[in-house]
Amino acid sequence: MVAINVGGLAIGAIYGLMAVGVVLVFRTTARVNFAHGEVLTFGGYAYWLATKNGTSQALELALVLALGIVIGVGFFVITHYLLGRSDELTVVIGTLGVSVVMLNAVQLHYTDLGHRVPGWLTGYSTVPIGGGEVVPSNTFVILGVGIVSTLALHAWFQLTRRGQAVRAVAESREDAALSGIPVRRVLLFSWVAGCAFATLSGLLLAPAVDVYPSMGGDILFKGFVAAALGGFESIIGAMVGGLLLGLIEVHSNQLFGAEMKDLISFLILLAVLLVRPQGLFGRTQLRRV
Amino acid sequence: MLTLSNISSGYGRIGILREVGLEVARGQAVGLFGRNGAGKTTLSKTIVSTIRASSGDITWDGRRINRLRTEQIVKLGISLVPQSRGLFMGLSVDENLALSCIAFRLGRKEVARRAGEIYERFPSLASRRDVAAASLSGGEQQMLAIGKALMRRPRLLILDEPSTGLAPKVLEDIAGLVQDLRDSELSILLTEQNIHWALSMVDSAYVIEQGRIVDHLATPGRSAKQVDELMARYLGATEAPVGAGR
Amino acid sequence: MRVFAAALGFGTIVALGDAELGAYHQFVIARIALLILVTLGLNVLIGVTGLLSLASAAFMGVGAFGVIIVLQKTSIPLILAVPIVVLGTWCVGWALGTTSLRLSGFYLALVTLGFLVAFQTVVQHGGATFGSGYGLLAPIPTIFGHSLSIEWVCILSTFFAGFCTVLVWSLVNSRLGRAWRTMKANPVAAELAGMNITRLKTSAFAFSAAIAGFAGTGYAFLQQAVSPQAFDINETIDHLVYAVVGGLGSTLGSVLGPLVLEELPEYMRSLQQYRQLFFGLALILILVLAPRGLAGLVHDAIDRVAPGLSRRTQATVSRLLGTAPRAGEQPALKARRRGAAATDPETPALEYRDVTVRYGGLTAVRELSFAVRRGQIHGLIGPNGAGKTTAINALCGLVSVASGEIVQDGEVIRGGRRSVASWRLAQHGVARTFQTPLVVPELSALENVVAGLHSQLRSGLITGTLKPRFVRREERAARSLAAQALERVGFDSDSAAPVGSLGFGELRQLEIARAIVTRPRLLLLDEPTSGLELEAAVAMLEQLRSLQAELEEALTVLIVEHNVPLLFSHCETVTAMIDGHAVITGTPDEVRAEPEVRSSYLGDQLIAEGVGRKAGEEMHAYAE
Repeated sequence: MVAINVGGLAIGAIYGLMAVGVVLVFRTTARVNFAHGEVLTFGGYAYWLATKNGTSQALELALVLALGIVIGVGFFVITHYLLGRSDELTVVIGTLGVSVVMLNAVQLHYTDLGHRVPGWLTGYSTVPIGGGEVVPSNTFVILGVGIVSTLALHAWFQLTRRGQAVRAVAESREDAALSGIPVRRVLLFSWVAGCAFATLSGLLLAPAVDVYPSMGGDILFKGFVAAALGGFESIIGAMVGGLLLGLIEVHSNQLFGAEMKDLISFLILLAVLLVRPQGLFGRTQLRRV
Repeated sequence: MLTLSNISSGYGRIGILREVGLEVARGQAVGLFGRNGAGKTTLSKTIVSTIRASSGDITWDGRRINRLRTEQIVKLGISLVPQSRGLFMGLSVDENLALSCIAFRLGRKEVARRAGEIYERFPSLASRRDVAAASLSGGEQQMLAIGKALMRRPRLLILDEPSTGLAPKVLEDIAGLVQDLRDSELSILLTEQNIHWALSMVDSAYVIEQGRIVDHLATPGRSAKQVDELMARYLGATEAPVGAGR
Repeated sequence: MRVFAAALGFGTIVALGDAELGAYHQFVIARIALLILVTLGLNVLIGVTGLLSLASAAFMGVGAFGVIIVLQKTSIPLILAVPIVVLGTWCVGWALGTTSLRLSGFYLALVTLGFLVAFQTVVQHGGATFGSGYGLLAPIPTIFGHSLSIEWVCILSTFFAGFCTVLVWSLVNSRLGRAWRTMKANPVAAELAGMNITRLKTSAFAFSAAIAGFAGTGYAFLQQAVSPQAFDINETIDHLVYAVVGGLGSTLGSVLGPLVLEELPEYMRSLQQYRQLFFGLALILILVLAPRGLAGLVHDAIDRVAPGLSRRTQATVSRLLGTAPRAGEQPALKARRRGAAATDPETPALEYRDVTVRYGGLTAVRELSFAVRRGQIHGLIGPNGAGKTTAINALCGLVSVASGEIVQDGEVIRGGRRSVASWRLAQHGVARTFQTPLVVPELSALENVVAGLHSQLRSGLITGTLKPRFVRREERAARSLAAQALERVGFDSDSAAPVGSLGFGELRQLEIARAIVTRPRLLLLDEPTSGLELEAAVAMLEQLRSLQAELEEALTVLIVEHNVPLLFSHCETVTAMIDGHAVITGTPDEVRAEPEVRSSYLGDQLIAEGVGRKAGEEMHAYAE
């Protein structure tokens, strides 16, 4: 029983990290990246390649994060410059196009073969949970990194001057500019941070599901549902939403079978968006129109 | 010194300002008066590049600033206190003040020092340092807005309709503040609809109507005649208009 | 039944063409034909109506799986099964469409994605009915005992693609199509032009779902089997790519997209594996470089090579369709009205009784009371934050009335127990313009004004597509009336020209023409002179006065304005608002002399301190 909950929380932490990345970008840029799943996939592949070449664990992490930063810059250029004057519809469709390109690039180069990778800090070790059950140690790494990074990010937003500047841009670009805050730089930072969170999720997820081309795309929808539970504006809400979603999923797997999990996510999404659009943690009662 | 020549700007296809020209010399306080919809706010927003001018030149200290981004113009010493006040509602008074000069990379001590000066000027803010901006009264919000701009030690302060939504007592305080600022090297551009209040605070004034500068009062005073004239502009001539009534 | 005949004709031609091909190419074209059907529907939803949906593959799947299941489990013949399944898909589409009433943009896309995910769950894990995850084999289609060969399925698919292309083109150029485009451009203006947003959104969803479902049934018989993988996110993205690369909002684009994108790989067989990659890149390139897609490029090329050709073609088509006004025909529309002018001439045309409106935590309008006599031009003035626009918005149903009543010609339309929905106001004879002219960029000036007649026309989805005689007659009448309205407001530009080429003053005229074309009883003008030069502003108000004098039925006008001298010289009566309350209502002289008014403009006494007021509530809300 404990194993199930731990497993649920772990996958929930991944959903939460995805959601945090999505919300990071959305708050300041008002844009949603439908290729976010593919960014996770790229992170997973980078981690696999790094482990194949026998690099140190610190370097593995650095490489994955660096990739996230580079990808973030790319998305910033696409959405701010190439599609800067386009409406929301166009940008959503544009990110869908990018996701297709990214997915196919991986598929063509690496084929659909899955690759096993060791847990980032823990290798292939496992941990007993009592009752004779055993769980990969990576599970705890996922939980730990997920929760700690979210809390750290939240604290950064609340307590540091730079973090407050980002919140200011999220509130009003115009007023932030009038205070001399470099708005463009903040938008770039949001994309970079959001994508770094995505590639980090890839590093954490890979040991659990192996590295394969649609590893990110498969869970993108769940990431969005988690973000919706957080009202699309709260970092903490996104992570809690993810954890909650993960727990609901593993328990519904027990009750209704694993096939139903996507359907359950859809119903949760409908419930949130139609009944309580500000999510569990959003403050403003927004109409999503 | 700020110079606008032949400025036209607006929102998308809507042209609001047409061929506007004005000057604010160093240490001068200049007024821009006009009724609502005449273009006062559009003008202040155009100066700081929130709105792009479609034609004409804006020069500051001899340098053309049309194409610069807002944050760059702010770093050059121009600060706008917008009509909407521009406060970060979720942050406290102290955080708002500190954030307003983040672009200048001042140390913590310097920021605290400048904030102290603001608190001296506005004692009611001092007692509410940790209060969220959203919970302040209208007058306090306006003071905070002005304080934010002053934190940056601007050389040109633009006040866009500062009297909006304020009680008479607060207006007195603000008027006093503007007088203090006038005595320094600071240049001020004050846009207002409330000429009665603003006329005594400026060295010269422009009148704007339907997007064009229609008058320049070189030495405005509080003479009843001038006030009457201006009011005639706002409310129309005193004789019965042709064609009214059936 | 010209449209029906044209559709039959075009479908037949295309089908015959397909019949001439060898078996392989026949099949390829048939597959493309089905994709064209889906793209036509998707284009209506995304391109014309502006609702982003990622569910197209799911709807196709509902049709495909649905028809097989119906044929297997019941004894309903094919010829009935297909319409039943299409109708079922229509209903599912309608249901999903109801979510679009509360959500839009990215949130709507997310929900439709969720629907796709849910569909996949059902067909993968729904048990033996759905093939236990492997899909289903399609039975051989039989009509009246004769089984259809694959060749016949191909020919029929191609026929229906051609047939539906013409029909969809006609639909997009009908009253419903105009309404969809108006709603996409601005839902508020659409509502006040008499368009029922709910009906528009759900019908767009339902239609696109149904046509995708229809394509799905064809798919089932063409491929002779259906599997869950054929209707997943990759398929939906393909549909999106066809629609965008072809050209969103264009019927031609819906044909070009699938045709070009599916034909090209035929010639590049060796690069087949790069197909999806190529699609993704094509999508991005088109979005960045040619946002109007291939159809847009074609139109631009035609305009450059043969300027005026497309206009003349359009004019010819209108004449053939019978929608172009005819010389000598008197335009007449049977009025569709609710409520009527009160019989007693003393009843005010408009009255606010102690109206209070709360907005964003503030009391924007406090016990507002004033009355406007029938046939007057009445001004509404006041400083920033006085609540003028909010008062008008309350009348239009854009904000709710906390207490008090708004009464039109003796009938309570706001407040009280009964409130008239915003979209019904047009039928009540209320029309409005906005601070920024809200026009539809894809329609010509004339069509923009015709859109204003929405509430007076009767054609719906089916009648708008088939255009029977009464529809043609009302379209002719509508265009004549629109042309007259444009003339009346002094519009002298080319009314068939695209709206993008018009100047700001002309846009204002256009908006007023759209407002008066329905012969409203009450016209609300929100800062009509802002953005205009003084001369143009004066001309506009003069035009308004003479217009009012010309009309047979009394037209009452309420103008919100900042330019007080201008207003005073053109209004008979004026209400001055300060701080949400009416301070005085009277002639311009009386209002001008009122001490409170004078001081509010000069500022001797200002509003009492209250909770911090976020200034700028009354600021011009210009569109970005």
